[in-house]
Amino acid sequence: MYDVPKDTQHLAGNVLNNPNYPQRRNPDGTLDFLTGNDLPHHLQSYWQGARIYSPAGDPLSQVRVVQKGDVLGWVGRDSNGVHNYGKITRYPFSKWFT
Amino acid sequence: MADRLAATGLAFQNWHEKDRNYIPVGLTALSIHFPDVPGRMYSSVANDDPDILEKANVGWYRTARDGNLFESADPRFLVGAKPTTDARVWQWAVVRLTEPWDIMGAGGRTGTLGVAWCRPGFAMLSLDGEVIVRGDTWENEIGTVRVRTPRHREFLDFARTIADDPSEPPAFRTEIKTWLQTFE
Repeated sequence: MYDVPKDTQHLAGNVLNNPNYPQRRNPDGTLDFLTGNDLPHHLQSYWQGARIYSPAGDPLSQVRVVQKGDVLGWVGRDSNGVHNYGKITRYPFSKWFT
Repeated sequence: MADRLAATGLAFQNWHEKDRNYIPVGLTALSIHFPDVPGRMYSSVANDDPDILEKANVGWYRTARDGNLFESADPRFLVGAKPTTDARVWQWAVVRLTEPWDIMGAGGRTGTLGVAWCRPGFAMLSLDGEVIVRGDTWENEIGTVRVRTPRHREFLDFARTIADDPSEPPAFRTEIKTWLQTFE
């Protein structure tokens, strides 16, 4: 838990506690699901199809949380601060919230 | 802030008039991801497209102009900006589009309209407050999405949820409550 950035913890809490929290949408308006193309093969099959969420409050924010079934994951960021979908980590204790 | 905006081709005019009750910048972040928001137009380009800069900039301009973010004869609109680098809450700044401009490249490089070159993250609003234009970065593409400012019950209820959340910045919560008064 100590490795998870605070802004990510905040978003994860909102997703877990608010059933109406909106899943991200693609530019064309369809729901945004993870392709996992940047993930290692064994993780791609695990996370592919996960719902993607982002926070309110900051249009610049690169914070992303993904949800597959009752498991939450959080997306890492690269050295520029851009979200890095090649690094997804299971969110601690996420199953216990649902 | 004005210098960094100028580097993208946006000339700062002033902060928005206090008597205008615009939707808070922070709420527009999710407006394009919320269900049943009307007036959607968009352009997008793959993250690895070799012509990403030109295509993304052209896409932004067409979406913004055709979506009535501004008038071609008077290209002024609002853009979400922070008055200082350590400010926690965004404000609307009135800007004018000038030549040459580079929203997706310089906008990201300067950290004003994105986090890196061609990795956008911005919120724009028409002067009448009716049209939102968002730049965003997805898993495999970047793009510009235009919607009409949402006012349906589900969105207003969601806004109230944020306004009542003590973990959100107090100034953001106050902004939302002020905007919601428009509908009471």
